[in-house]
Amino acid sequence: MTSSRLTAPLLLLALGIVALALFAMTIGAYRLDLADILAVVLGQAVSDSQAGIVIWSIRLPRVLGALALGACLAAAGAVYQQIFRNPLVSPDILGVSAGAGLGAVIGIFLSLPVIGIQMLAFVGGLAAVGAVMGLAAGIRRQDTVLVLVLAGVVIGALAGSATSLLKVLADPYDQLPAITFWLLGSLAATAGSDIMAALPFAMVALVPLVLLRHKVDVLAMGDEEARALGVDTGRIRIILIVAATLITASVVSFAGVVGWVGLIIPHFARMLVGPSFHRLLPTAILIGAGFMLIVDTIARTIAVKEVPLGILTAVIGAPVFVYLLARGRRAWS
Amino acid sequence: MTLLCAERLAIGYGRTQIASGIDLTISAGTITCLLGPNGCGKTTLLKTLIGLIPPLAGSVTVDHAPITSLSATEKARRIAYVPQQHAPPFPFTVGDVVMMGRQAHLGLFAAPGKRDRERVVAVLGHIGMKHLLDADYSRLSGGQRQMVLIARALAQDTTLLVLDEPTASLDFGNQALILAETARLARAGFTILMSTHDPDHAFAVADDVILMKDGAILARGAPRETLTAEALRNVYGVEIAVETLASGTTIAVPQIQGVSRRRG
Repeated sequence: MTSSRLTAPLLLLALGIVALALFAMTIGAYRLDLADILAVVLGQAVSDSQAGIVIWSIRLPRVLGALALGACLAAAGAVYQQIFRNPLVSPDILGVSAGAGLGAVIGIFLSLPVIGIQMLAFVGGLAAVGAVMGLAAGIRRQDTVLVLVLAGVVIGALAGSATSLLKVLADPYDQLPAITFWLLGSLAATAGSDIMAALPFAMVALVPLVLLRHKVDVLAMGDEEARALGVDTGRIRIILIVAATLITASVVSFAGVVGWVGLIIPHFARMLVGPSFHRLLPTAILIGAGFMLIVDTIARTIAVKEVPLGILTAVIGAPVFVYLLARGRRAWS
Repeated sequence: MTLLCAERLAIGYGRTQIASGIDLTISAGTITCLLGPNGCGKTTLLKTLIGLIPPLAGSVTVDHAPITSLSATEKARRIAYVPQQHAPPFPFTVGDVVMMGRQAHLGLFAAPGKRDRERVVAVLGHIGMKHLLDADYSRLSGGQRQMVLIARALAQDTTLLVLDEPTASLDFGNQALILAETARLARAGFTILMSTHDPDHAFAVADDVILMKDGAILARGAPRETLTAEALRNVYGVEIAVETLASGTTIAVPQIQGVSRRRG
């Protein structure tokens, strides 16, 4: 139960991810080896050389984007699973992904520039969650969590059907491929500036998760018990939901909708370090970052054409999900 | 000394009133058993007394402070609540679960420190479960889980413990162990309020019994004076004999008639 026992393994994991990131930066059409990368990154080589341009404006943003995407989805998934007391919950449970997807599709449909599409994705994600919370507040019942989740399903379905309508109406040669690609998630069209614009939101939203990490466990025991233990559940739950949603919406805004990560990674982290949130959160963040980096590196190298991330995470995630299911209830818990 | 006091209390959820006009006091250092059939309002009364449900009317005071004026943290520093044992959806360790009892003494953003960890080990030692510190709570037996929840309540460092049917869903032996533990805690100076279905449990450990039916308190007092055959028949609707055995133990036995023993 001490966190000190965890510090060394987490540092090792972080170092492993740095090594993985450096290795991932050597992979790609323009040949680079580790020495080139270290020379450029450490400032010993000129940044406007061809290698410098490839590293600073293509490889590094891509690697950072993948790390941030995986870390954020895993963190949000861990929070949602814990506070909804359900290991099958994922970051899109409250309709975030569906809302953000609809926002982005509207942007693509209106032929907006990339930054406009991202803004709409962000706004769409927050609007969906706002609608879900509004619905849940309107329907006063004992079981607020159940009402929240059901409202999320309803809003998600509505946003999904609006998205489908736009896909039918979209230009099949120009807009439809972009929409499809975006709805499956990809970092192919993501510039460093997009990531830098979205990341501050995720960072700010991560603060309450870290600060409240010792309260999250108590929420997993149920509302009444948590209050009897002295935790103001209502306020803390709302803060955590809003924070996790902001984290999700900010990465969806630059990477599109990437499924499975927020569902699977917290499970792995829980199998490694147990469910206690102050251990679960850093572990899930690191594993999520590493996992997404590997998936994205595969996505950009496996074929001539980029493979959407959502396809790869589903191909990896679905069997893992079945495996966990087959291991029985224990694996879920 | 009165630790918990309810005056003209009305209980219920929202607009549904379950009972009203309840007056009761819990004295320090005693075990009070709240007894009554399912659905009579035991749990609602307990939850109102510890401030989980707001009273519909009347007042509850803990240590002379009105419970409605206390924050969740202030309540948790005065009253420790032991729910019925249950398995959480995630495999917390016994240490994790007991540490949750320290929340009432931690600030909003604070992490448990060395003293909190020592307290967790100490209360587990107190109930003889120190060796299970790192065990998976959700894999323990029902009786062990109930003991861990009692340890968590002890980690809250309150003098008042409120237990909601701590023996429900436990087997015969574990029921006896939990009862023995409550008796031991009362001797150690804790004040205990617990609900139960079983009159025998009240006979075994209670100083004071509150007998409820349909949201009303029918009787209260010492177990042997309160739990008479007549009072129990009135509450449970079946014939019950109350007998004192040669060992001095008093038991309540339902008189089961008209049921022939058949094979097959």
